[in-house]
Amino acid sequence: MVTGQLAVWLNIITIVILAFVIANLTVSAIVSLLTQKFISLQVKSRKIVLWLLVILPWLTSIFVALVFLNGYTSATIFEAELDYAHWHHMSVFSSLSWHGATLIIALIFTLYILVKKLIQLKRHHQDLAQLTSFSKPLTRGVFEIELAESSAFTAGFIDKKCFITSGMLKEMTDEEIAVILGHERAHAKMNDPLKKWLFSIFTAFFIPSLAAHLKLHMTLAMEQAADNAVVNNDITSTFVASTLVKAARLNALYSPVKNNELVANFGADVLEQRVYFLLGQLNLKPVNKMLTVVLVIFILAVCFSSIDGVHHLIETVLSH
Amino acid sequence: MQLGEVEKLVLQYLWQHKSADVKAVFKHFEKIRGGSLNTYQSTLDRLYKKELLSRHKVTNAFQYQPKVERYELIGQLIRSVTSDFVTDDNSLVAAFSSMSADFNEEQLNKLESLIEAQRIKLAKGN
Repeated sequence: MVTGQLAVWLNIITIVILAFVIANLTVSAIVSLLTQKFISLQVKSRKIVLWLLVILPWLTSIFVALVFLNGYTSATIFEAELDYAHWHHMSVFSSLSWHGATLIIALIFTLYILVKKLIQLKRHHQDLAQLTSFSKPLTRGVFEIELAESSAFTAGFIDKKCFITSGMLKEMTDEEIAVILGHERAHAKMNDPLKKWLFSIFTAFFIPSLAAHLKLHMTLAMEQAADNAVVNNDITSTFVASTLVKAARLNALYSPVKNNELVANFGADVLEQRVYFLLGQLNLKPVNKMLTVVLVIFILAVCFSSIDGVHHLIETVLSH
Repeated sequence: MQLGEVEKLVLQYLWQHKSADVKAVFKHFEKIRGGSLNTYQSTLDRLYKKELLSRHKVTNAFQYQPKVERYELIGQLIRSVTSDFVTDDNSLVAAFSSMSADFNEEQLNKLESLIEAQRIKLAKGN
């Protein structure tokens, strides 16, 4: 049994975990309901909304814990705070209870995610270094890989590199190569590889199928932003779209069509959406700010009102 | 998979010469970059352990051959670096035609027709 200041902090961390789980479930329910709506948002708005959704459980849980701590350590700011934001036995923490188990499970899970992501990052850097050593520089930040397969991509967090295979250089015209490299440089400029990695860390705390949806939406938004960055007075959006389809056709020559229904549909959605976007056939709207604020307040309210209830509910099943 | 500078050079040599023993490798690199016979023996061992080379004994010495071709190794590295962000957590890259390999001919033809229609529409508008 832990008492005193340490117990307060351990209880606060337990509150953070409970609030995180409640906020995560609420965000998951919202994402499940609105997933098709995201696609009709403007690219910039969509990116902001996606970041907000994955960060919201963290922000909400920290905010809720701070309010609980404030309610315990000082006079309450709001009358209502005492009704909702209270935690029994704040200065006593029993490690051999569901509180202790919750802390340990959350800690192990978080460590698992972080270690997994860091190992992935290390492997990625090693493979990237290896790939760079097998490629030759074309221009600043652009490397050619001698390979018949058709591919172009950008990787690296700080020292960003754009790669294009000799197969793609051979099959594409100079104008098409300008589009491809312009697209890759846009990814590099927008720090997309780093953002993708960070986004994947946040989504790892959601159930896998939902995380896949969120990542798909982010990928699409990033690709559309990079496609759009290439369009200028000399390069039309229809030309970018036709280059994209030509590259897809070349990719299809070397990669077998995947049988996974989910993947195939996702793939179809992404390429089609990118082409429709470039052709101006999507009626994209800005995010409804009022609705976003209402949703954030709703998630906060759900957390505040549920913590005490969840606490009691757990203790009806498990002994304190 | 991390390859050292000498490992890469030896691998390049074997990709060109298909098969060689340590003496042949040493003889080739002795003139270009120096090093001892042991250096190349341990390099060949490491490449064998990394499963990049196969070997068989001819009289008293091992003959080494590349187990993977250059394009296969590079293909593996590209796949590892560009694994799909949605289906596999390993992707930290932004690819030009990401996820477009999952398309069939019909879908691509449909998109091409759509682009052509838009092009004609824009040309008429101008």
